[in-house]
Amino acid sequence: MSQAAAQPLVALQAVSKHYRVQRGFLGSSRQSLHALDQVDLAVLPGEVLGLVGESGCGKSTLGRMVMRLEEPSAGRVFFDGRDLASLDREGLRGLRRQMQIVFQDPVTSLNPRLTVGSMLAEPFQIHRQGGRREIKERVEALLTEVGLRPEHARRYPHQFSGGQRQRIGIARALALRPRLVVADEPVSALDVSIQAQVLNLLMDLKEKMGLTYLFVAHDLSVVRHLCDRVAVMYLGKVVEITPVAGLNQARAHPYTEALLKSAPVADPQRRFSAPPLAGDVPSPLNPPPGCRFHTRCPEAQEVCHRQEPPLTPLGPDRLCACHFRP
Amino acid sequence: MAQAPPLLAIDDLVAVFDGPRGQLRAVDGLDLAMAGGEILGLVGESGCGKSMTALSVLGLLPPPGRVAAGRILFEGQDLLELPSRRLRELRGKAISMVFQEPMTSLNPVFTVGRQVAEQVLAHEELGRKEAWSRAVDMLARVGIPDPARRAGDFPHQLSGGLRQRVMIAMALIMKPRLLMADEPTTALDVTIQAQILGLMQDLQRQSGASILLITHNLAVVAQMADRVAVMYTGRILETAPVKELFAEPLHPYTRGLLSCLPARAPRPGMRLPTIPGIVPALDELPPGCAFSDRCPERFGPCQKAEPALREVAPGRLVRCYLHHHEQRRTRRAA
Ligand SMILES: Nc1ncnc2c1ncn2[C@@H]1O[C@H](COP(=O)(O)OP(=O)(O)OP(=O)(O)O)[C@@H](O)[C@H]1O
Ligand SMILES: Nc1ncnc2c1ncn2[C@@H]1O[C@H](COP(=O)(O)OP(=O)(O)OP(=O)(O)O)[C@@H](O)[C@H]1O
Ligand code: SF4
Ligand code: SF4
Ligand SMILES: [Mg+2]
Ligand SMILES: [Mg+2]
Repeated sequence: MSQAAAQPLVALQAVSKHYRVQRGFLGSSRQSLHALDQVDLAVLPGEVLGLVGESGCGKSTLGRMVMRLEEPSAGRVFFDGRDLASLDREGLRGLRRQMQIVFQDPVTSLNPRLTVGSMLAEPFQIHRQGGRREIKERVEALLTEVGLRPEHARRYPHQFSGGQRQRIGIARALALRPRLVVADEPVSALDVSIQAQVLNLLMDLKEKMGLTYLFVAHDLSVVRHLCDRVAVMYLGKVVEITPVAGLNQARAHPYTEALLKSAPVADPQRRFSAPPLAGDVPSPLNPPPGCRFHTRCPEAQEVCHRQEPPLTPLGPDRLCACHFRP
Repeated sequence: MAQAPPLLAIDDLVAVFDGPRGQLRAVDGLDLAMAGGEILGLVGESGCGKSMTALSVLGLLPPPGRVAAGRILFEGQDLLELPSRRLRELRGKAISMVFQEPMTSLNPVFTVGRQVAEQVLAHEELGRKEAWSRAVDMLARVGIPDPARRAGDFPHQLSGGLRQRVMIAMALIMKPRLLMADEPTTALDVTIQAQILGLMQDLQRQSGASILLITHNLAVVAQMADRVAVMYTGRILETAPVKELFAEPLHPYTRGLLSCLPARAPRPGMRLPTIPGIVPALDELPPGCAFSDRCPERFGPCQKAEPALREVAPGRLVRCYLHHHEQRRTRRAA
């Protein structure tokens, strides 16, 4: 992609998020958990940027920073060139319409007491768009757009299957015609046949509406299929950013390589012989010094224990944080 | 495989839940056989009855669930006829299980070492000390670092991956001949999943136990299994050696499942093939073939009666009229 010139739709500059957590007997000691640490990342207009990494590495936290659902502890987040921190409430509300989020769990993210119709009408009412009749028409159009039927507006969430509920979540996110959708593991809870339907829907809507996606996932085969670029995270850090095609090349970041080798492939001719990575992910409460991956990295050297590798260019469209890449 | 008597042979198993709206058949005429020393992958989408099948074997269906019909032969004896005392003896010893929810099957108030040791004490006359040291050995064998110290930890002090290793240690310490592992890696990250799958493979090779590997993840099955059984609405639709199943799936449902996988799409970004509709509720199955309301290949006989699970090639069983000779002819004529 030679979009280096395009202004990013979203840019994170040295964004950190620390949580105070209680530890020990009756919370006797307080500690700081580094969910995100000095993250730089850009989402280009019209692209699908995948975000992968193990549980707890900070993917959802990053999504919340972009959506401004929480304030970063440090660093700045820009949307369309504007610093989110510099906006007043009215300005932020205007921007909110342009970015929406879809959550992993289609069951708990929908209010069980509201009909689908009133749930989908909410965004229009909050942003005072249209009268009752108009809103009703818009809701019906939305339902059709995501492959449901207008009469579904009268039903409650429990009357839908998991895949249909995820469609409702997507419909709600699209109500106000956003430019950016943060999709936080939108298909992880779904069976494969339903997953395929929802992925197709996401691809169709993106084409039709020119959307930009920040797509959080843990299934690399889904990421390969849907994304243009991928950011790989480990313990609150982005360790590599690469076009999806780069995932097949040798000399990826050692952690990316391990992820690729660990993922089982739906092909019995290609079984792996030995697990590529030993050990557990360290606690984000006291991440290892130096390169955070050194406790598990098969290539770690002495320098890795002391010195943190910065994210540096590896070719024209690739960034990698490892002392031994390139 | 036909000559050696199977280790496990499930015949026409029916497991039901009686409820206010009538009877739900969670397992509905299931046939399955396992040879000694093999890994059989049992796959299917959520709710198709994988867990209830395994729980039926152990006599542990959650109430009001019960086995209503069928036979479950383990080394030739019918487990459904066995007195409950004898079944308890087998459970945890000859047959063991790694349950789908690790946190609910580990007791939070006991150390993990004690829980592994209890498995030994339940089946052998042994001092506590000796049982404990056997437990520590087993924790070492499943790759838990510093096992003597870790044995003193409570479940919540362990990561998900370590907890799953403890579960496997509990299941394997009595050297079972059959291990049923229900979604053993679903809650884990891929790098940890790879470790656990590797561990199960090693232990299987060393002990020669058979493993019934239950999962909805087709990639895990491709990685691990010798043979695969595909389940849908409480029944088996297809059984085949793993390479044949992935190279040439015969049942339309299996074909649909495999073609939905993004990894098998010819190129990135293309629209994925889908299976129309959704899995029907158990009390709203279509007439005849259970897949007939979604099947792109439905023809004449499909909704008249349910097709039988038939052997159509050595080791390959399919429940579909497309593979019944006499019906194929009617299809061509039509
Ligand atoms: N509100 C909070 N208070 C304290 N800690 C938090 C909070 N939210 C997240 N964390 C911690 O921050 C880290 C990153 O969490 P996050 O949810 O972003 O991870 P994730 O990559 O989305 O994981 P998963 O794949 O499991 O969804 C974790 O260690 C988590 O426990
Ligand atoms: N207590 C119960 N009462 C009524 N029906 C039940 C009960 N428990 C399970 N069922 C039904 O039995 C069927 C089979 O359930 P089972 O747990 O075996 O599915 P599964 O294939 O293991 O699914 P998953 O992949 O989600 O674990 C499901 O349709 C479920 O709704
Ligand atoms: S910097 Fe060192 S420890 Fe970190 S990934 Fe590179 S080789 Fe491994
Ligand atoms: S029996 Fe008929 S409906 Fe059922 S899977 Fe075969 S072709 Fe399809
Ligand atoms: Mg998350
Ligand atoms: Mg189950």
